[in-house]
Amino acid sequence: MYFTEENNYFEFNDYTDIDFKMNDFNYNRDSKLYSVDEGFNKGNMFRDLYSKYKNHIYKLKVSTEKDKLLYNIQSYIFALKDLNLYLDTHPNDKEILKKYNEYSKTLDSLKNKYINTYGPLCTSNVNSTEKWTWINNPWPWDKGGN
Amino acid sequence: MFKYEKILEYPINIKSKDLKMAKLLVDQFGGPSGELGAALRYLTQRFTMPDDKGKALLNDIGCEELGHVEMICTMIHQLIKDATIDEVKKYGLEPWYVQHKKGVYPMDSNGIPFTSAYIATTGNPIVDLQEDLAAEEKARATYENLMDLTSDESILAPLSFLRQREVVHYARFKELLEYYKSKGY
Repeated sequence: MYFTEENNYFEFNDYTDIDFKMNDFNYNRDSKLYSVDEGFNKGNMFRDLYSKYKNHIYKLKVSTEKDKLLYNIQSYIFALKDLNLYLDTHPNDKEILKKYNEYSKTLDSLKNKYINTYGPLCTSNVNSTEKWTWINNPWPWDKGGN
Repeated sequence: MFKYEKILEYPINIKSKDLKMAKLLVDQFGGPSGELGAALRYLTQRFTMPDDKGKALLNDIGCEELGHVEMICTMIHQLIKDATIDEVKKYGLEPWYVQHKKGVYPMDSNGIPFTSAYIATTGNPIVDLQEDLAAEEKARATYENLMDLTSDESILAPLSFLRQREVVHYARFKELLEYYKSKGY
């Protein structure tokens, strides 16, 4: 994954793909949450908490299928983590809890897809009977590991 | 217990080696406002949080900080791993090389080893949370200082992400502190 200057904006015009599904485009201005994609890139799911430093805005760009899947998994893990922290201090917020459950289901299916194609994310994911695939490179700190 | 997931919280792919930035970034690993201190601070303070909200929040932010330690260490590793001896000399990393070669060790940007004196656990939730608010702000400022010192986007993007996490953690700790104050703790 890498970054390009022209890529570092979140504009309405970004969404020009003809295959674009309106359901994915939840541009509800009243929502207190960013989309999972935008929130992950900003490091924050909650609109009211975002504060950028100077003009630093970065948007990740992915090229390979593996990177795309990994990126999606990372973004959903992140969204869940940020909602998790919010829910710790607001355990009765049903709206956010509903989002949490929804994202959790999406993450499960993304992870299954990754594990079956590229290998385990946790030791408990090892399903090979031939080899202990857990040790396989790359590890997250290796170049290309993420 | 802790379970390892073979994935970073946010991707790190450093474009080119940069020994100077490695030496500076290590501050956010083992320095006074670093991620290691943050993880230890919250994961020890959690034992004396008075209710379910506090135990959960300190635990969950503490775990996230371990993920941040991994991100910072990954950045340092990728910045330094292809360095030549000439570059080690050129950028003044001989002391690093003598003790750690190209290894990643918890120390600050001056080479001073990590110490738990950077953190406090007072057993008093109000006092601990005040410390946590200050810690998040100090880490935020450190990230901003680091961001001022590079123009490499492959370093800036993760730093920008980590900086924003400090802002979010600050807000959550603040909510908990206000709640505890209202409860009379």
